[in-house]
Parts: sequence; C-alpha cells; structure tokens
Amino acid sequence: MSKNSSNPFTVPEGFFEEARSRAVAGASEVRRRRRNAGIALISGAAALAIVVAAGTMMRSRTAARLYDESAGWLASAEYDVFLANELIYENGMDY
Amino acid sequence: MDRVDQRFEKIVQEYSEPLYWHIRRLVVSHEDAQDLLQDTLVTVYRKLWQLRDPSKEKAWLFRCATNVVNHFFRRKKRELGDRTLDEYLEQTLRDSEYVNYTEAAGVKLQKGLLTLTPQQRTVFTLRYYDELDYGEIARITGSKPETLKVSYHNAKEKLKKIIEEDE
Repeated sequence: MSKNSSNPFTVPEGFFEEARSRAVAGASEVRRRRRNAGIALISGAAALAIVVAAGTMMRSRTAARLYDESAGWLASAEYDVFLANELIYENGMDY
Repeated sequence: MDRVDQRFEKIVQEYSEPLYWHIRRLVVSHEDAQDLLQDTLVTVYRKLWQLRDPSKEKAWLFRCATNVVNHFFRRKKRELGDRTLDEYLEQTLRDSEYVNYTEAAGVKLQKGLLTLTPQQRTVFTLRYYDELDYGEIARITGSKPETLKVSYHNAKEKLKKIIEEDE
C-alpha cells in the first residue's frame, strides 16, 4: 500500500482558498451573533430592572395611600361613632 | 483582532487541508466533506477557549472533525431509510465527479476502506493517512491505545487481503 499513490480524490481548483475564506467568514458570523445576543441580554436585564423598579414604586405609593386613608378614617368623627356603637353593642355601655 | 481570532486564523491556515482530507476519506463525497469542514471549523471557533494545552491541538482538531462526521452519519442513516450507509458511500465513490478513476490503486484502497467497520475505518485513516500516534487517536476516539492497535492491525490485514485478491 503506497500512501503517495493512494489518494484517488480530487477537489475543484481554488477550493482550499475558498474554504479558508468561508471559515473566517463563518467565525465573523459567530462573533456577530454573540455580540447581538450580548446586547439582547443586557437590554433584557435593563428592561426587567425598570419593570421591577416601577412595580416597587407603585407598591410603595399604594401602601402610602392605604395608610393615609386608614389614618384619615381612624382620625375621623365617623370612627368615634363607630367605636361607640361597637362598645354599646358588645358591652351594653352607654356613653 | 483578539488572541482567539489570531489562533483561529492560524488553525485555518495550517489545518484546513489535513482536516478536509480526513473528513473526505470518511464521507467520500466532496460536497459532504466541504460542508462538514465548514461545520468543523465553526465548531472549532466556538470551542477554542476550551483548548488550553497547545500540544494537544492537532488531536483536539481531529476529534472535532471526527465528531462532526459521526453526527453526519447518524443523520444520514435516518435520511436514507431502506438503504444502508455503506451503500450510500459506495455509490458516492462510483459516481462522484471528484474522483480520479485512473488512480486504480487508490480507488481500490478506498473501496476496501468501505468494507471496514466504522471504528476500523476511523482508526486506519487517522493512523495511516494522518499519521497520528495511538495516544492521540485514543484522545480522538475515546478508546484505549491497545484496542486501537488491534483495530488498526485487523483493518490493515483486511485491506491487504482485499488488494491481493483483486491483483
């Protein structure tokens, strides 16, 4: 078996130069996709952070509003009447 | 251009040809080998960061190519349906535009290669044509060097017999 005379295969002319160029172009494409995927990831993370921050702010505002409303209710004359009625109902007390 | 890109370009310059011939001897068809070389080199670029030891570069590159070829064979088997992979490879060898049929000894040897088991064919190609040692072939195929020696010996004997029978 002679190694030198044992290759029956041929390739089109200029094939290896073309294959090398294609490989380098393929690597650039991988780089481009990686970069785009990186940008998409950073954008996604930023969007998520904005949503979380907005949600936190909304929750704080809602809590503050509820607190103010309940504080207002506790300080109101209606609450005094309500409390008095409760006392009368539970203990039969008159004030 | 960063270090990975420089290293990749060096690999492309140095190994495109040997990798192509390794793939071509296994898949026979030039068109398939062309596509698989491209797949191999893209895989190499993606995974180049995994290669820490430069002394293992050659074996690592041939392993990438062999894995790409094995994956192609699995896909091809499913596509072929009733026909076997060996039948497909034999037909490719008969009908290919890029085979020099006047190179009778080479065609005969390639026909003989198609009678070997896939393991024997890979080991024979890596040892005989690509001149890798058994340690390197073991890293590529995941087999023990002793098993590979037996496999290579059996392949060589089988091929000798086929060539002698034809003469």
